[in-house]
Amino acid sequence: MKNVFEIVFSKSENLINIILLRKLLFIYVIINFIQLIPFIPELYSVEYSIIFQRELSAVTINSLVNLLAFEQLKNVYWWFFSLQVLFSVLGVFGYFTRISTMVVWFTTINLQNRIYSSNTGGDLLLNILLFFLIFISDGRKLKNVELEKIKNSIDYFFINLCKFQLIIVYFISALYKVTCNEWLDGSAIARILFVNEYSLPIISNAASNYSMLFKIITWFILAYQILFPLVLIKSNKVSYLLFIGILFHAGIALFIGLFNFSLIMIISYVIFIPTNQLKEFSLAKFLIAKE
Amino acid sequence: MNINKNIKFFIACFLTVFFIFHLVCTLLYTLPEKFVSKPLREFSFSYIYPLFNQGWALFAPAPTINKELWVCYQHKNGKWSKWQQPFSKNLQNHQKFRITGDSKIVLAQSSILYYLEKENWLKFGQTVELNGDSNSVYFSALKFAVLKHLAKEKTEFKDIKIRVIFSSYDDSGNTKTLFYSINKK
Repeated sequence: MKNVFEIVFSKSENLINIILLRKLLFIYVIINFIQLIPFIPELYSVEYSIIFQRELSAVTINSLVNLLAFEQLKNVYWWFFSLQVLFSVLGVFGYFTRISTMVVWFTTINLQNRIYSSNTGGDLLLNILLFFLIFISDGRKLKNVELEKIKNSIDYFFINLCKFQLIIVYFISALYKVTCNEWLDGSAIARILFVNEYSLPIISNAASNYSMLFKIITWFILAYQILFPLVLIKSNKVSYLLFIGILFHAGIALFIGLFNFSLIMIISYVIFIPTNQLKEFSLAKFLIAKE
Repeated sequence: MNINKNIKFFIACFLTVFFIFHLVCTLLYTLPEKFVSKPLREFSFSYIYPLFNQGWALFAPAPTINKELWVCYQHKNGKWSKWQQPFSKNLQNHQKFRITGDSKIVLAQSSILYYLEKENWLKFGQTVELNGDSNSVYFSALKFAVLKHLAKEKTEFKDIKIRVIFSSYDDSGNTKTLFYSINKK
């Protein structure tokens, strides 16, 4: 059995998952750009942007990720989009992996901060995962054995940061929910579906007609979030839990309308899929074939 | 290049400390307010907010207020337009096609109106009229959005009225409505 020191400095078992995660996130960024094209003037242009932003002048870490708030840079959003898409495409094909991740993270966080009031948890999670991925290698072996070990140790810690970030999402969300009456009495989903921007007319009617069904759905979601940390267990059965999660997020995308949030959450599940099972998926095979 | 065991040990320790520090700060930043003291929250804010900003309350508490934005403007000839919902098309599209970018417009509006309601603590049945020079940041953001939207639609106007209606969902399934009206003088 390996000791902790050996585990940290040897090649991570989850590197394939991370390579796939990175590529899927790049694909997501490209899809998100395509979605936004018709809305870019309304969201980003100086003339028509409906999103109010205070101007910045001082340079701090916060302002480096809010560059579009500077008077002189307000119109350069097309440059940010161009770089974001260009490096996402390069990243999908496996070129300049770390540089691509860094550019995609930097452009994405700046573009998102410009339209902060429209961001969802998915946008925030995307930024965090992209940031961690900058520090994770593309899996290629270094010639120098000692440097390879150091690289492996950095990979190990940042891969675990990605995993724990996901656990934190569900843990904190479950903690908020168990202290909320409407989640405990089962009325939360029906209430959410009453709000126009998180609903469909047909579903809000159903929520009032079939209250017991929606109570069960509410408790099911709560149970799923509480049980989510079980994905850390090394077992092929984890895939069943993740499959339930995919259905849960597909429901959120369709009925609550948080499509992009759900897509990011589903993509991030790649980290937890047992590597032997992951290699069976044809999309995964295709995307990691070169690596 | 040969790196001895001590250096490797130092690297492992450094990464472990960073790992723990990051996770603790993330927890302090994201845990419900009642679990974290103010100084600890402020400490975590300075580290987490710029690059790792996040919040995972995710519908807890569940939103129960429906928000409608209505706008009416005075043409150059002095006549007032009918009341209309400037972003209703985005909402309709968002409900029809979940995949479109309309969700960004819908969520941006929803977010401003959510904070506007929280800021004013209106009671149901109450109507509050404010003039367009209100100091509220959220009102400024709302006015900004409406004016930009009208500019995009090439609508020329002399004056404008904004009305926000919040309706609440109560336990019996009925809704109560209140009006929040704003006149830009």
